Amino acid sequence: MNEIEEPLQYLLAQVENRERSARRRALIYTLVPILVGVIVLIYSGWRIQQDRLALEQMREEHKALQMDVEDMKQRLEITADQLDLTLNALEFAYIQVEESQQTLRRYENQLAEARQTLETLEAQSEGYRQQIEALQLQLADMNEALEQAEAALREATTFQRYEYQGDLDQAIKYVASFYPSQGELLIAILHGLGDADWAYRGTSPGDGFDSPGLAAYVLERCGLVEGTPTYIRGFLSEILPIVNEPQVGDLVRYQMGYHMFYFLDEGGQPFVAGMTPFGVLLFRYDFAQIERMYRIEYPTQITCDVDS
Amino acid sequence: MLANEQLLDQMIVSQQRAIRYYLLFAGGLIAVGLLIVILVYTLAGSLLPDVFKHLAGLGGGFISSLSALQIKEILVRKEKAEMFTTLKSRLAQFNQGQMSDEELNRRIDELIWKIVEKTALG
Repeated sequence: MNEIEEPLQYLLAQVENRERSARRRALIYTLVPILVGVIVLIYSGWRIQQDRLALEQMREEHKALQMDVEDMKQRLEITADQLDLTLNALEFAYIQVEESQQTLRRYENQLAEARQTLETLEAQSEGYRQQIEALQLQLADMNEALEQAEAALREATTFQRYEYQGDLDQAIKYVASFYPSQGELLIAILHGLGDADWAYRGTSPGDGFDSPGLAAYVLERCGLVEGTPTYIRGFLSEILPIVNEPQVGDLVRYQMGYHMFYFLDEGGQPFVAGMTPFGVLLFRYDFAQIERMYRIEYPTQITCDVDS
Repeated sequence: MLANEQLLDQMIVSQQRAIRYYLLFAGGLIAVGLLIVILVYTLAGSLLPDVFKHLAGLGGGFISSLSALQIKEILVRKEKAEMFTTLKSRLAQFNQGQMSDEELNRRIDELIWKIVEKTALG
């Protein structure tokens, strides 16, 4: 029995040893992954913590960046406001430029109008200059007429001494009796045109007469010379023949331009009648120096149609 | 033959003791894992950061899952214990004279010793 018991005990002890080693192995196999897991978890936690710290840092950086972005947004808004202001200023400046351009165009139009007005004024000035020249010519003529009038006035005082002193009615009757045509002309001068006014170069009752003008008018109206009074007045020396001795009814030209008709009264005293600056007057034949004498051919009967 | 029965009894007792050990070990692992999870999520939850809380919970679950490794050992021990119990019942039937085949008895005897040797020596 002891021979069997001894190896049996030995086997049981071996079995117990194997069981113990199996338990230790199981314990180790269990603890090793636990330890590894714990290490891995700690390392993971450490890494996560580090990542969290990094994340916090990144969040802070993100916040800083967000603040920067906000700051930039504010700056952008300020810049946008400034841009708006600048844009408004530009629009205002553009409007001012537009207004200035309109004003400039208006001024240009006004300038063009002013130029046109200036041209018109220049044309008017030219017209006025011409008018002034014409007026100056008229003034010169008037001065000439005035000088003549003054001369005539001076002469008038002299003329009074040479005025015909005979009986005018008798003289007219005498002329009309012996020289009917010449008498008709004398009556036309004294009665028809006795109230005529003096006018330098005048040839009609409406305008008045100067001395050759009245002579030309009477000659034309009495049918003694053909042509208009103005024409006759300008060409008396070409129309009428010049003679040395006057006859009744001839035209005498004196030195100061007087053109007077020559007559004789009943006493044989010669006298002349014609236009003077003082109206129609009768003078003695020698009241002034004679320049020339024109012969006028009278028919036996004439009719003088003068407008009074 | 009495020695074989004693040997089988010792082996059965040994296997049952190992089963109890592994059961306790597995239960301890589960308890430790659950304890870690409960502690982390209830009592120490406010002291630890969230990351460590989740990691500790994960570790508790991992520790609890390690108890599954003991199941294999328990099953092996159970099979061996059942085998020893079967051999013991056969040996008892032979000893009570219900079986008289010497050759079969000898072969059972050899099988017992082989199993014991394998168990003891590996």
